[in-house]
Amino acid sequence: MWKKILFWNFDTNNLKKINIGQILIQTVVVGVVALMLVFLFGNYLNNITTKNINIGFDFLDDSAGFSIGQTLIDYDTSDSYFKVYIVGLLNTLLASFIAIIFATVIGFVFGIFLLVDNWLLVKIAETYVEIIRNIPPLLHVLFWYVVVILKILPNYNESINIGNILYINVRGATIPALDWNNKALLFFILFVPLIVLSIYIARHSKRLRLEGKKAVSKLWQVGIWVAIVVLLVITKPFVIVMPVQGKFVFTSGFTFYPELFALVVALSTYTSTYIATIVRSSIMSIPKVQIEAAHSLGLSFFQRLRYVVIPLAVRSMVPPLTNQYLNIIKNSSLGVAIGYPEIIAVFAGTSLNQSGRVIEIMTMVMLTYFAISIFTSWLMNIYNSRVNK
Amino acid sequence: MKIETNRTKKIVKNLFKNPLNSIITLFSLFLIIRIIIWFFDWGILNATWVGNTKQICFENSGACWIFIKDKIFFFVYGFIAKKDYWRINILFLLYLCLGLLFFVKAIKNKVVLILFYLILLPFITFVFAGGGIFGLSKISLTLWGGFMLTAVFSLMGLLYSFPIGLLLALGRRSKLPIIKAFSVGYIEFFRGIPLITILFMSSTVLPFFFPVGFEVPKILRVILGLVIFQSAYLAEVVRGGLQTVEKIQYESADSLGLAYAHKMYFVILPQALRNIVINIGDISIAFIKDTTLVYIIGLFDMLGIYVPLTSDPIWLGTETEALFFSGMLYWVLCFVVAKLFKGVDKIINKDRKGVSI
Repeated sequence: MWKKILFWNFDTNNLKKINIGQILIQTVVVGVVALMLVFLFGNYLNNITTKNINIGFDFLDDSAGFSIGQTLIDYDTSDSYFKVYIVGLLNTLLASFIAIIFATVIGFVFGIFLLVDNWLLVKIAETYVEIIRNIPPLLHVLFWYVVVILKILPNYNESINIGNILYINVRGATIPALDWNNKALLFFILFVPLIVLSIYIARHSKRLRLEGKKAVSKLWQVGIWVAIVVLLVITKPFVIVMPVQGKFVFTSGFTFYPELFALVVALSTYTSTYIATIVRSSIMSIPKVQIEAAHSLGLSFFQRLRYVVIPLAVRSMVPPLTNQYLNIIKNSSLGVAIGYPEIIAVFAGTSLNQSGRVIEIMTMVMLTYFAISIFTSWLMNIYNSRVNK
Repeated sequence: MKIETNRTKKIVKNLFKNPLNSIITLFSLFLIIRIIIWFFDWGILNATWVGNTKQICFENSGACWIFIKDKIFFFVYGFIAKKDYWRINILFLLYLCLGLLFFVKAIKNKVVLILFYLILLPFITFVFAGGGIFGLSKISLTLWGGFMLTAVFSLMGLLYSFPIGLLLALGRRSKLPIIKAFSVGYIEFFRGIPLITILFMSSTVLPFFFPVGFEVPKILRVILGLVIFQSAYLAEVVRGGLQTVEKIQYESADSLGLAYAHKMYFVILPQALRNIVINIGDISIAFIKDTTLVYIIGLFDMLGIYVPLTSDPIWLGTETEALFFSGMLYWVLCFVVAKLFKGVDKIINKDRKGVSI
């Protein structure tokens, strides 16, 4: 056992096969890289001392001093750079999440359009994919923002008013806001276990029914939802605040800024073309026998899709789909071109310019994207193993 | 002729074979006609085709194409002075010739040709478009823009990322742990972060890493960032190609006693690269589209140039036309490059027996 640890290539029968050339190459590579790093960091330290900038993450406690348009959490100009980072991160996740959902739906729809019997529909889908794919995503984002939103939506004074609940104008869409009060925590403590219980009962019952055993009565589910409604009524954790149109700005209500819309629509339509081709090739890779069997069972088109085609297609679709989702997450950084306050815009842009801490900020941003990518890949991998059992 | 009519008849019959299909067909026809009419209306019938100022544009409700006519040279040459257009034209011609040289059979060793290009391409670019030597006047690099800038970024980025990506792919498959670790780390790192981060870094962070007072023009830093980014993606594609070559080829080369470099150069890479020409085409097109991101760091390529052009006081409000024209230019560019790669794939793989699915 000790022999195996002491020698470089762990192969105790072929000890003489350690190649001096290989070791030499690697040492040279390490040496060159180390020298380069020393040179680069030396220059970096020189440069920042001449510009009187410090190193360290202490700047995260400094006050940021600038305002941000759309924030999912409360933020004002005296908040720290760290809060700026969190706001940017939440905005990035919000845009990516919504864009992923829409892109998948649109991509699936067009992917299926590419394979139906109707020649016209196929050609329309093919044209859509070909045209949208060859246009850069940045142009999509700019188009939807500059051309569609800024030029087509009405002014604030002439907002489109839908039932006094939804107002749409060039500054964004305003909906009623939820004003959470101090009962919110109590509500959530009781709400989450009820939801978990409901999901558990649903899946357990499904499994029991598949095995032919008797499952719990569905009245339990009804009871849980009644309990949730009762909980809501009793605790009253939030108050719905209707949007009120003031003279220049909405005095209440939650506003979705048009930048978010433009970014989400642009990313969804652009990525949906790639997802459409992925869906199409996955469906084409299903053994023809399965589809013929579905036909011979007399299933309708939608039944075939739902019970046969899509479950089988998903098995081969997950890795390229994961790639597209990661592309959406990375492309959400395009929001900086239209002023959507995601992490690149507020943190790697404004904050970097103000504080001058380039290395620290860039490292944080890169590690953040890394973390988001790895997390998404991990989730998709779990899904992949589930569908490929 | 008979077969064609049969197929068309079958397609048309299919369009109406059941009520749902008929509804879909009619609705699609309606949609198509609606879109075509709208576009025809806006872009051709009600558009302004002749004139000199925006005032004339206000008379028609459609597109203001005279804006494009006025500014078209900016879309191609950027902000370079009119008197220097001939130099950029020569540059484009030289690029074309360098590309066509690949198809010349007399040049046996194309790899040496590529290595030659690594030095030749920046040389001719900076002589003709930068100037200052050989008696040509100096053109400031900040004037570069439009199609010319897109071409420079795309060509230089693709050319330089190729050797680096190749070496990274080989390094990832290597048995030497340090080299493998470096390659994997580099590839996964640069594939995991958005290109904007790299461009931001190259425009704001990179100057900190140079010795004090050492100034590198922004264009060069951006090319460096683009090359670093693209080489990671290319490495993955080449790695896929290396995996398509059967193991027996590697073993045969080893049994012939070929050294690693010879094995790769003479046996493996010719086969691997032939298999992935289309994939390289795909990432090259994606790269050409990614060069538009330089707009965010203040460079005006074929897309970004719409901002200064539409800020011209006489032509305010023409963003729609400018973006539409840019979009069309990029569409044509990507389409042409796609066809190019398909053609190259056909030529290279002319003698191979394909597998029909």
